[in-house]
Amino acid sequence: MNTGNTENTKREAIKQQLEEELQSIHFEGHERVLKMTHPPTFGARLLALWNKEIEIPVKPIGAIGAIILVVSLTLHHPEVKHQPQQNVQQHANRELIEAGGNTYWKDIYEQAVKKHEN
Amino acid sequence: MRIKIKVKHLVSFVLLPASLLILLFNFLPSSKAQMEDSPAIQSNLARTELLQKLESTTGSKRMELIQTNIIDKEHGYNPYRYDVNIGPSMSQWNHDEPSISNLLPEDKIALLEEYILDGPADNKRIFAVKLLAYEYDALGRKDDGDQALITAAKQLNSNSHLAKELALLHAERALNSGDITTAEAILEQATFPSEYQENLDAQKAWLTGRLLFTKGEAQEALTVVTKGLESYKKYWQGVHEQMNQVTSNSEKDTADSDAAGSSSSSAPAIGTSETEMQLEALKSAIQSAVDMGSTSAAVVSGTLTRSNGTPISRAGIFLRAESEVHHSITAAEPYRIVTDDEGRFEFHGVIPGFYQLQLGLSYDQIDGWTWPIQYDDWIEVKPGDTLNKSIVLQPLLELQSPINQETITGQSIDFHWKAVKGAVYYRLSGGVSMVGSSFSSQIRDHITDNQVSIPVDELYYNSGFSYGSGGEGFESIDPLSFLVFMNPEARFSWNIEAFDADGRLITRSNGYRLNEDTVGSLPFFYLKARELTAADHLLLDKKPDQALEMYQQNIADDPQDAHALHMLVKLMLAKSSITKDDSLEDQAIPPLQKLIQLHPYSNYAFTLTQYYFDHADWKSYNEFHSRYNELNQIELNSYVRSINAVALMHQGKLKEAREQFAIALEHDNSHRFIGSYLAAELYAGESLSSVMTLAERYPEHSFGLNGYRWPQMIKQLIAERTKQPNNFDQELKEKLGWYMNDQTDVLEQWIKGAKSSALETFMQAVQKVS
Repeated sequence: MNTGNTENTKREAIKQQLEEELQSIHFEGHERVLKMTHPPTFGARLLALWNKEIEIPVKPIGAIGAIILVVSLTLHHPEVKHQPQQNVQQHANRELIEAGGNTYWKDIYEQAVKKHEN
Repeated sequence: MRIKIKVKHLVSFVLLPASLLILLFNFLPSSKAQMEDSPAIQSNLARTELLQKLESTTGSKRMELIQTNIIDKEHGYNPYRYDVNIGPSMSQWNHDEPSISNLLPEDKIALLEEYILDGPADNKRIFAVKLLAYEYDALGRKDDGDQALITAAKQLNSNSHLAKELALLHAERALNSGDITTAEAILEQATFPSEYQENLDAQKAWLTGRLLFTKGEAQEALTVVTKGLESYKKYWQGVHEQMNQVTSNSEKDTADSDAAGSSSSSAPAIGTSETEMQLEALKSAIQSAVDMGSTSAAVVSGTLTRSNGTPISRAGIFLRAESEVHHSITAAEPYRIVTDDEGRFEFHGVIPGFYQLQLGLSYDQIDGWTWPIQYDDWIEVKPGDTLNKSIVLQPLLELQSPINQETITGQSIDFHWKAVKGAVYYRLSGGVSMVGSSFSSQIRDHITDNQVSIPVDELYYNSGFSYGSGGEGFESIDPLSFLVFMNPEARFSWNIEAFDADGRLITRSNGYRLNEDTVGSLPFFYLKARELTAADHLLLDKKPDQALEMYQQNIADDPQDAHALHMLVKLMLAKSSITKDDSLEDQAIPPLQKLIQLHPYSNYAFTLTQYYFDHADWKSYNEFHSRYNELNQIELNSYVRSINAVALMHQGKLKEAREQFAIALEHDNSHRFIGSYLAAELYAGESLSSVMTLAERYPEHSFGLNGYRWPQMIKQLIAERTKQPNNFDQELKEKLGWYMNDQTDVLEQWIKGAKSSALETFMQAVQKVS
């Protein structure tokens, strides 16, 4: 019986010693090992990206946005507003004239004459 | 500052809306701009819009929509109305507003088919049927057009005037396509309700007349038409009288009782309705054919294409009789047709006579193209003929220099233009082209190259003495037409016509130039090679009398002042013709003779020959005629040659006169001097029957006169001669002698005193030839 007790005591001592010695060592490779043993699916990666939180600097992005807005407004807005009206009007009020024996639409004729005015 | 944000929120709340906005701004506006640029897409849009609108409506609303967008859109309810009408002697455009919806023919057909079944049974329905038939004809589906008429008629009470009108329309279409049996069957059955009976009766008489003529029963046709015309006229005269009575009565009432609101409807003017014009025209056509013994109808067909072979479809072709060409196209033309996909047209049942073709085109069809037809191009339709008259449009000729309002200061102008394939010679014309005033005349003819250098002196002095005026009296003359190229302030225009070896027009520079591509170079230039004189300024200030005096003063100061001499002669001749003061013309002759020494130009010589011709001064006439020949350099034109033939005839040089007449008449399509030629031939001893051949070969085409006038007169002479041949021959010789020997007074006296006879009619006509 005594022998058994002694062995137990010995084992505990070793364990204690081991624990004491390993106290300063931590295993931190769980994730890496998991990634290696169970690689994540594409969907999961996408989901991760989707849910990723990012930081955006306000000033440069705001400036670029403002520039795009202004440029697109100035380039396109006037066209949308005026051109259709002009065209419709031109068509309805068109007048034919005779000059130098030719028959012209008055607007086209006046444009051509203006182009070659002395 | 930084914002923390999850990617998913960034995408769904920022990037996605932003890109949508960018799409909206960039893509949509650009496609819209494209639509505005291209009229085709624009009208397509309008078409889609209208079709969608129609889709969403039903019942009477839908019919109303069809009516306002298709039926009422056709101008004057006439499907045969086109943007532009072009004929040998005219070109005119209609001031209609352009149609914006631009439905395709298929759309129109489907909608009109629907309308003639479900639309209201009124006049609009008749018009819808006409329009539908027109659309089918344009697609070459004539039978479907006829079927539409039958379908529409079935929808109506068979005794209503609308149903009757449709029946007559059907008969007309059958006649037009040469289907006599159908036309006859319909006309035989046609009896009319009392409502609108007169109009329907008149229509029936018109159709029956045409039918009978086509069947070869010319005399019967004439009777039917004459009767129809008489009763139609009588009816309207009655209505007119009744209305006059009512109007005068109501005027009396109004005056008596001072009651307001009386009806002020005035009676329709007599002699203006299209039905009556139709009957009158048909009557004169049949009458003339009967007189000439031409009693069988003809067929005239052809195609309308461009010079590159492309057929022109959906164009109007009008075959118009000699008596009708001088008024504009009406809604009641007997021979009109719309070309099919291959540009084909075919007229049946054409009454023999003289005709001209006229076209109805859209702006797009004529833009940049011309129909090279000339004033005196006539088609003689002979009995039983099957004529093929194809029409080919040619691209407009392009001018190269001087163009685009350039200023010329040198002593000559170099005119250049693009050469035309097959052209043997060109004709250059030009004149003043100011806003609201233009004046043009021929500058040079028979130019064999596609360029010519014209000295400014020729432009100044060889422009002839014709002028323009804006009213009555000497003060109303247009100063620009007097100074023409001598005015450094005026803008000038020029144009070219190209001719082939036979003298037929190939193409011209003038025409419809309606878009940026076809406008081409502007045919305008300025000529600043001289300065205006004080007298010129007076003339431009519309003080012609003061200007005339100052020109005289200029000549007194310097007898060699050619400009003053030219202006003086031109003003005096104009004043003489306006005030009918012949002494002014006499006074203009010495300065004119001085001018021709300073500037020997053919126009001066021609004016002098005319003066001496009118005064029967044959010695001077001959002198200036040979001078003209010398200066003119090119072959005499047929007018000058004819005048010379008359002059030779009056000088007793009968043989030479006959030779000259023969050449002149061969080249002049109007044959205006045929009467003098016939007189010369008869006087030389030719028989009436041989003269008849000449009269038939050279039909005279003058405003308001029948091309068969001379043959008919000769026919009458032949008939008159049979009674007393010897007497007749003697008398004919005597009267012709008076004419030949310038015994105008004796001849006129005899004409006045003589009782009416074929000889008297003939001599009167001969005397009027000029």
